Parts: sequence; C-alpha cells; structure tokens
Amino acid sequence: MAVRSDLNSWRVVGAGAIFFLGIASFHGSLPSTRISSNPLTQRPSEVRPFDPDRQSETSAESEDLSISLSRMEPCGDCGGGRAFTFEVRHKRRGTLTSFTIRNETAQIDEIAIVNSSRAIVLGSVSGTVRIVNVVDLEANSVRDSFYCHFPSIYGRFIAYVKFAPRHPSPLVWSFVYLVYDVLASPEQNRLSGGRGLEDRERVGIPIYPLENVERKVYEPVILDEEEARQIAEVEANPLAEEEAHSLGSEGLFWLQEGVVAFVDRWKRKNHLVVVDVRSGLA
Amino acid sequence: MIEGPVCTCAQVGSAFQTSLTPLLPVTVSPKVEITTADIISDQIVVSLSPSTASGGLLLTLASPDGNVTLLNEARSGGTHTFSFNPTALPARQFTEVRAAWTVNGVTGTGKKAASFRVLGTYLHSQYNTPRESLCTGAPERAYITNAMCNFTATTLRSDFIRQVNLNGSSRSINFGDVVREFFCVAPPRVFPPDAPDRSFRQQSIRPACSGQVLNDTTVARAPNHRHLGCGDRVLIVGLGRPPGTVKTVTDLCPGCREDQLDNYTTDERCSGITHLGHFVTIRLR
Repeated sequence: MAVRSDLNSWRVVGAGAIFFLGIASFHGSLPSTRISSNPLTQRPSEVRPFDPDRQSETSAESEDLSISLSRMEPCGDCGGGRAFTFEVRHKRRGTLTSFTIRNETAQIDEIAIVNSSRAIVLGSVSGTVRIVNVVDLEANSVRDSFYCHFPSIYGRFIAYVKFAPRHPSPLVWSFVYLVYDVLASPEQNRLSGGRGLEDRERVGIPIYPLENVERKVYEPVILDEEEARQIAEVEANPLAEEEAHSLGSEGLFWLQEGVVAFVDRWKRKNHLVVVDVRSGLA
Repeated sequence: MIEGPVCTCAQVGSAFQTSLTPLLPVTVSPKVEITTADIISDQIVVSLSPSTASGGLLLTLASPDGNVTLLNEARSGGTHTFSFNPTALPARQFTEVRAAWTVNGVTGTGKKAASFRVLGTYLHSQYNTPRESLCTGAPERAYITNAMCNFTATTLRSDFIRQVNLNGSSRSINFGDVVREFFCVAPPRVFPPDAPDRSFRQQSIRPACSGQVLNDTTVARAPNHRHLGCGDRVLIVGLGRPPGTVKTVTDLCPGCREDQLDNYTTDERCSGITHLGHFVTIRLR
C-alpha cells in the first residue's frame, strides 16, 4: 500500500476495507480554512474552554430524539469528579429516559445523535485531552469510552488522533490517526491483541500513517525496531520533533460520511490525506 | 554716510509691517524621533519638534504583509505616548514603527525597529505536575521501573495514577518525581501483565525543549508549530497585569491545536486546573 507521493499529485489506492483516496505532499503553510468549502463538510469538534465548574448547557436534537444534559452531581468514584445525567426524550413514543456518565469525563462539550439507538457525548478530561462516550440509547448506558485528541464526528464515524501524554520523545507522541465506527461493537473498534475494553487509549482503527495501518498497531512507527531500541536506551532523546507526525490542518474534516481528510505534517512536509472508510473498518 | 531719501521712524515701521510679512514666511522643519517602540510595555514614544508647531501625525506599523495605521491625527510638538492597540492588530509579522509629521506641507519622518508577530487569539489552557499527596484516591497497585526495566510493585493513589498517565509526569510521595513508563512495557520486553498504564519511572521532570525549564512563565505549544519554536517568548495580551504577561516556550503539547498554548502552573493540585481563557498572543521576534 505504497501511496506516498512527493508531488502535488493524487493516487487512488485500495487496501482491504480502508480505501485511501490519496495522499499528496507539499511544502509551505496552509490557509486557515483549507478543506471546508463544501457546506456539508463536518468540521472538527469545537474546543470549549476547560472549566468544569462552569458547565454550559448542552443538548442535541434529531427528528426522533432530544437529548440534554439535565443534572451534574459530585461523584467520588468518577475519575472526572462528577456524574452527568442526560435526559432523552423520544418524540414519537412520547417517552422519557435517561443515562448517566460516570467516568473520567470532567466536562461535557457536545452531544451527537447517531440514530435512535446510539449517541455520542464528547467531553474533556483536561484542557488538552478529550473523551468520547458512546451511548447505547436502548440500554441507557455508556457502551464505550476513550481518550483522544481533535475528534471530528460525522454520522456513525468519529475520526481523531490517538491520545498521547506529554512526553519529550516523539517516539511516544508522534500522531496516529484513527476512526471509530459507532455502529460497530467496542471489540470491533479495537485491534486484536489489545488490552481489553477497559483500555481508554488504544481504541479505534488506525487510518494513518500507513505503517500503523499495515502493521495494525497503535504505537507510533517512525523508526525501525533497532533504531527505536537504541534510542530508547539513551535518556537524552536525540530524535527531532520533525521526525514525528503531527496535525497540519485545523483538525480532521469529514468530506462526507465515511470520507475524512486532514493534513499530516512529517519531516517538514505537509501531506494531504484523504481516507474512505465507507466500506467498513475491518 | 547714508545717501538717499531720509524717512521718519514712524514711516520705517509702517514699511516693515506692510512689506516684510509676505516676503519672509515662517518655514518649519519638523523633526520626528521615535524614542521607544516596545510591544511588551505597549508603548510608542514619539518626540515632535519644534514644540510650537502643529500638524498631522501618521503613525504606522510596518509589515511585509501590509502596513497598519495606528494613528492619523493632528498633534502639536512635544513628546507623545501611544499604544500599539495590540488586541486590534491583524495576525502578521511586524518589523518597525514609522512616524510622519506634516507641518505646513513639510513632512518629517522617523522610524524604530519593533519586530514581533501577532499570532492571533489563542486559547490558553493550563497543565501542571500533580503531587500525589494532594490526590485523594484509594491506593492502587502500581510499578516503579528503572533503566534496566526492573519492576518494583508498590501502591499509588488511584487519581494520581490517572494524572501521571494523562500528564506524563507527577510527584509521588515515596518515589519523588516519576514519569510514565513506555519503553519497558512494550514488546519484546517482558513485563507484568497489569504493568501497562500503571508503571512509572523515577526520573526528573523535564520539558521537551532541551535545556529548558518548567515554571509559571513557561508554555507548551503544538508540535511542529509554524511560528513558534523552543525558546520563543510570547506576550499574552490581557493576562495578568496590563498590558499582559511574557512567557517562554519550553515544552510540547501533543493535544494542543496550533492556536492554543498550554501554560505550565506550579499549582500542584491533583485536579481543578482550568483554562486561563482566550488572549491575543504575540511572538516577541
């Protein structure tokens, strides 16, 4: 699946279920509104200032459902310190249900209704770490949750950058881009050989860099194993920041449901990446 | 001996009043000196002379991407202090302040270097190094590792473990500064099955920028930021005492957007570290 191009050209390459529409690389900076000329494009989720004590009202509405944050309570067992209860109004049935989030979520930022049985509640764990809660509206419970950076939702899919803690080494934080399919099970949204459903960091299916797609791994692959071993053994990490992948666009943009575009910056070049996951993530 | 017609004193005075005024108009050479152009203190000091003159003063901030007019008003001679009005400046690189004072059609000019880049309105979040003694969670199993990848079982407070995993580093009660262990919990190394995400290495906490420090005057930026590098200083307009606060880039923030800076705080609380807000941010070079 060699699809990297050093020119401003496009290639269409298929690989299993994930279909790369193309990768183009170019030098230079990007204007601020790069990929969003199509009004249907879904922009990345807005970053709300992190201030849990000033939680703003949050709600979402579809033809069938209305979901709103109705209550917050202190919660000693919750990593985020609060339990968030949401009220779900089923318009056609005329019924009212609720669900509660009790985990590391410290602030609620956004609600997205996927269909009558699934919703996504996007929150913040800290000023730089976001958390995705996938809600089963039939069971009235959180079905899955995970940390991430720069989430972007369109329909059933969430595109994001794998959570990376602050660390001097690019070997740890080099960006890995992932997609989560809300209509698939939590197991299907994890690579095999992972650390189980309790793992909040290694969640989703890698879509870029290609090394992560090919090797089916979450950890950044910016060096071969021997280079990585040698570097890991020295405390003063000589690896330059430019050697790591990072986001060059203002987020990940859905061009339509299942087709996501973003710019990855790597080795001083910007790579425009377009990935099609409409046929599935398996 | 003076020859020619003789006139009286009264006649002489009259002749001067009627004939010399249009022959000798007052010409002024306006002088302009910009003595201070300091974005940190938000001060532009301009001296105009002579003090008796008055005219239109045009104050401009020069930029390769388009100059910005700061002032275009009548001013008399003397020393004047102006603001950059930093919150109204467009995002671009600026190079110098220019002044032009026009008195009776004659223009005097002056300029002073003022190199800075207005980055725009940035979100300023905060991060810290939490102290375990300020965490309140129940003890949980954890491991302390060393450079040989030996694992020593211990317990740490549950919310402390969570904070180290999120922040990357923290201050433990019994082991001093610890950082999250990554290398010893990755294959092909052998490690306890529950060691990932609960293993920490005793190590001094250092920022990503080599040789730099972490304190209340440092910030972290997004990786590969287009305009900010290690060691760059930024003016955060409106933060703290007016006109703002100067901080230095010493760290990286993988979760930050390009228009976000993560401000380090020496507040060691286990939670409750909130955003500072949105501020116009200026790179000081």
